[in-house]
Amino acid sequence: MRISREWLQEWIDVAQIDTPLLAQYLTQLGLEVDDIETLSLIPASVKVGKIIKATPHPDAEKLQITEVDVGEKTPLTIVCGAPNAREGLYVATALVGTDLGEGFKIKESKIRGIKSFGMLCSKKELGLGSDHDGIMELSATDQEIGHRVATHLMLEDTVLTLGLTPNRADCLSYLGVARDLSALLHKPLLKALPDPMAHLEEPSSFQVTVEQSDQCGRFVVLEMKGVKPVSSPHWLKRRLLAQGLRPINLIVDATNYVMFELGQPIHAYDREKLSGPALGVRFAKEGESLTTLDGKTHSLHPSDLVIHDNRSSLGLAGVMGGASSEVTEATTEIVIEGAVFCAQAIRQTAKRLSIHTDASHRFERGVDISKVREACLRVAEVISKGMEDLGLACPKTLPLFDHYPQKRPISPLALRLERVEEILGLKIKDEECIRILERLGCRYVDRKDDRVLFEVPSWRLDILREVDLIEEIARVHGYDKLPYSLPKMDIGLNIEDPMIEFTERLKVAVAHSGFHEVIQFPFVSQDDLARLRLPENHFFRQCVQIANPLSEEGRYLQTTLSINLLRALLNNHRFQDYGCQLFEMARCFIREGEAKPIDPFKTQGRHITGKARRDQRPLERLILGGVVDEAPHPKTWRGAEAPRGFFDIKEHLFALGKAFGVCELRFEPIHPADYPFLNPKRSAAIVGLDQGLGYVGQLHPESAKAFGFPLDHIPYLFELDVEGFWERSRDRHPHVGSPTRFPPVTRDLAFTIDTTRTHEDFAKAMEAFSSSNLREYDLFDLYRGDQIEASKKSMAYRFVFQSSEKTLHDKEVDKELERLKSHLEKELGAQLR
Amino acid sequence: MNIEQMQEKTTAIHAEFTQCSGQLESSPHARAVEDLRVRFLGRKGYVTQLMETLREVDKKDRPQVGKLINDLRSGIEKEIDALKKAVEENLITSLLEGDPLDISLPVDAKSRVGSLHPVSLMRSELIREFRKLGFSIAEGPEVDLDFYNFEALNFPKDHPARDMQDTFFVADYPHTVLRTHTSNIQIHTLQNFPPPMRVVALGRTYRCDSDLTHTPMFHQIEGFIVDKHITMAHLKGVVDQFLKAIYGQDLETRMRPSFFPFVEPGAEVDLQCVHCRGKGCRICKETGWLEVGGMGMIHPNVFEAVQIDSEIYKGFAFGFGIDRMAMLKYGLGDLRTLFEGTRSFSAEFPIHSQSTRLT
Repeated sequence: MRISREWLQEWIDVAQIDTPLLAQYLTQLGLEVDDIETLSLIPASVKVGKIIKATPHPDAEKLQITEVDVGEKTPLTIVCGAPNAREGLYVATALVGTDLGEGFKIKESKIRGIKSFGMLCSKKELGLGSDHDGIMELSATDQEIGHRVATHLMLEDTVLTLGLTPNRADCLSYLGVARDLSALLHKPLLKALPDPMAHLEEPSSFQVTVEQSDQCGRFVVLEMKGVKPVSSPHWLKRRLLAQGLRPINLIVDATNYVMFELGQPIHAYDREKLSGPALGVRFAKEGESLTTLDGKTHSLHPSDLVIHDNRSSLGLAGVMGGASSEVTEATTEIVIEGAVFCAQAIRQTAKRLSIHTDASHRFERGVDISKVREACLRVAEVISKGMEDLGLACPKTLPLFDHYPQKRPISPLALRLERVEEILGLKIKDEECIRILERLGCRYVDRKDDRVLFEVPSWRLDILREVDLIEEIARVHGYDKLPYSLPKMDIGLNIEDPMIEFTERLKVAVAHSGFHEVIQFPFVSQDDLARLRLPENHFFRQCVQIANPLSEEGRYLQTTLSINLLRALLNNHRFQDYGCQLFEMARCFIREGEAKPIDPFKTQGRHITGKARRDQRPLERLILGGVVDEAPHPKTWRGAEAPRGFFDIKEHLFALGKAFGVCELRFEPIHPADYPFLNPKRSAAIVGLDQGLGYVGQLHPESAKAFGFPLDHIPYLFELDVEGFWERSRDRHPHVGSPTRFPPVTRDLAFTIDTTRTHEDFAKAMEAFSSSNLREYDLFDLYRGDQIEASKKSMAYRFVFQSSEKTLHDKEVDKELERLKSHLEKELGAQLR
Repeated sequence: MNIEQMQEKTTAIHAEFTQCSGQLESSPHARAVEDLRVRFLGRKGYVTQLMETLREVDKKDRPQVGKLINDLRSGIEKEIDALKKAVEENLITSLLEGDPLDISLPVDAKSRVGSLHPVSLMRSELIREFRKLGFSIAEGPEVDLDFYNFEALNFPKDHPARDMQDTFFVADYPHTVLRTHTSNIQIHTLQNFPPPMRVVALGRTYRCDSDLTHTPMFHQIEGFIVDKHITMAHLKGVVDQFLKAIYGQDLETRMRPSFFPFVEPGAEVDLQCVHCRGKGCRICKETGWLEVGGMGMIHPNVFEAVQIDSEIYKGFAFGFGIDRMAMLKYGLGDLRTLFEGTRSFSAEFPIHSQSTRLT
């Protein structure tokens, strides 16, 4: 809502309050001032000038060549045709470049051979009247030379833009804002509404039919004869311009004027275009269409309210009038309609047709049903005043028709004065509470001890409960007067899910291992899923769809973090940044429908508790995902590091497991069908205690191609189900025995073994080997090459023997080693190298 | 063997020892000294072997011969100890000699550790500060039913209050939206746990809006306290405390009326500009104040929606945008850079957030 100070002054005297303070008052009241602008009806480049010389034009009898001082170094030469142009006169000088509207722009020009640098303006040229006899004569002083004419004539206005919250529908008008200010500043309103009893002497011949009374609570009709839709007088135009509205003609302008002034949307029809003295409100019929004032034709829905006459629908109720009954220059008789429609119905129609008008904005938020008649009468007043100002004959206002079947019920609201302090934490005097509410228009009805009954004013549709009254008191009294204090509290239940802290720590640990965290929008597209080579029935295809996405690229919620992580990696490549390790921890969303593909993880999400678990809703799962770009580190003076890949991630993940006490972490071969976006030769499923926790692997070359990665640097990625990981870490204490005091004996052995054999095979064979003294073994070398057969590889292990009872003898160790060698030979065909 | 023979042997062994030790370099290696010790005093060393011949000596001579050998042993031990000491001294001297390390040589700390996103850092700082004030942390679903996101929060159906929040609707599920604020967690929590409670709820939120100052996904924190005697003055006090803890004790806060359907009275809170400390600058548009969050007393309709008696219990709730808080804290100018996923941006940030010092 734009509030012009000039217009506001008509309603409440705020002339002595400067604009910043006024803005502060409004903001204090909860009518936040978003913007303040200075408006001027005359362009800023129209300056006060003084004619210091005037000589006749040599080649034109009626023209003069003037030298005008506009406060610049040299006076301007301006050719002028006005007879009253003379030396010593102060004039309104439009400088070159001034736009006087309607395509009239001042340019440097040559008039009969003499160059002219501006224009001396008449009243009419400045839009200040019809006087075009000569240039405007200003009664200025030398000090004002070069000042803006708008300032000199005090034709500037300040407009404050209020960012109104949807509850304050009453402040979508000057009347409403003035009321609030009046309550704060203890100042009376300067204007009264028209007498509602006017034009009721005779019954109206007009007929109104409202089919659904719950859709239209009131419908007022006022006819006028002898109107003239001329261009509005200056004061009216000026106020509409301040609202940012283009003036059209007196009739239309008057309806808009009253809407801003009183908050009631009004529509005017050309009486002669109606089929008769009758209007009605009904729902649109199936298949009905309507052309609105903006020339657009809409096909209507049976939930749209329309205004109709005996023939056809005339307009979209509460949203926009129709073209068929539009007021035009030829109009002489009008019907003024003021009504109140059901907010929900208007909102639905406006939303469905994407038409947002000043009228629909007000109806959606609620209009004061008790002042409709006054608003219609006010329109008639404005039209009459306008015609009078323009010297036209006064139009005739016919009897008014008011369809108001069910008067707004007034049920008083009780305020317990003690409750004010209980809610606010500040004692405000009882009398002050009552006075504030009265100043806001609440009518004091009764008081019984602590309980005071009030009648809430009809325009405050937002005051419904006691606490609303308390807010009103606090608002006018001033929020700044509330003290700052801290509550004393009982200790409640500890309701925190321990996984929350775990996730915070997990992020820190991942960052410590060299990953940079990114946060991305969790939206993906079908194309993205195709790039991952996911078949229709794949788990990651069970996407939750957004009904109104910002773009097709973001139609679905992510089921996997991999897509956006890969995209982030590509984004870094664009900035020539290779070798990134990025991670993200975010929710993935899975639609749980008829198709039930195999879920790689088992967790159900811990964000929903209690009864809400029974709701039908998508599965949300917190996932930790990461990508590792294979590109090597740049060389440093300490030597280049090896390119990162699979085993770096494995190391990071096992280190995480170690850090959080997840000891049973295992890698297993993946089924290519489970993870079609991974290279099956370089990927693994992460398993903890037989529960799938995630995957790690290199992006499938086909997917890499589809995403646009260079095929010689295909990234590795992983995802980990955080809840599963947390469950595995929970309440698990690693077995701690007493440390042995006897020295360990180490032996290194290298075996040649078939290339198909894995470390896992070796580990299984070792598991089957019983030895009470073998404490651990570690692979420390892996070799394939010329030194051994092509079908073989060498695996070197370091074995550590240690007893908890005694110092081991070499002989004992040698004996165990012999046993081990034959065991491995039998199990794996491993030969000592 | 008699005493004289033994005398000769010990003299010979000692002579050999003297020769061997004389052959050592002037600054012998620890290993060479140890070899020498093993050769003479070890299990199979000369002195030990000599000791084994004691059996062949006449019983009456044994004490004397034994003394001879022991003297030999202790003599050699002494000399070896002296050698060892010299070795250590040499080592210490050599460790302190030579060129010092060029301690200015660069290391690659930046790629050794990663970083946390500023929003995560802000989040962890918020959690820490609120824990100090006795709050528990809560989370909730990001995809939620209309009931939790709107209806129970006193947003009537088809009401313009819903326009304050451009909502993403979910297809295939009835009445389901991406949560537009973290206030849905308030409903979930109130529904499941009895008051009194002090809770902060954090998480991702969504609105279908995308421009310079809005992203379709953003982060919110919402705190609420429910107990029997909670007032709006407490709300003012708690929010003031917490903002000061994050941005500094020198900054003032102020509250002015506003509207959110789930609170009444409703307010917005302004904080003195963190950049100019309230003097007026470009960031605060010369006002000295920044609008940082919304808050108010929990609306009785909300309590009633979750079956809590609003006559007995009262409470307040407040909400802030974590992204905006992080931008203010870290002096970031462009919201969009937060979500571009570039390492060069992330790498600027640490892993651990630090609390502002209270003075």
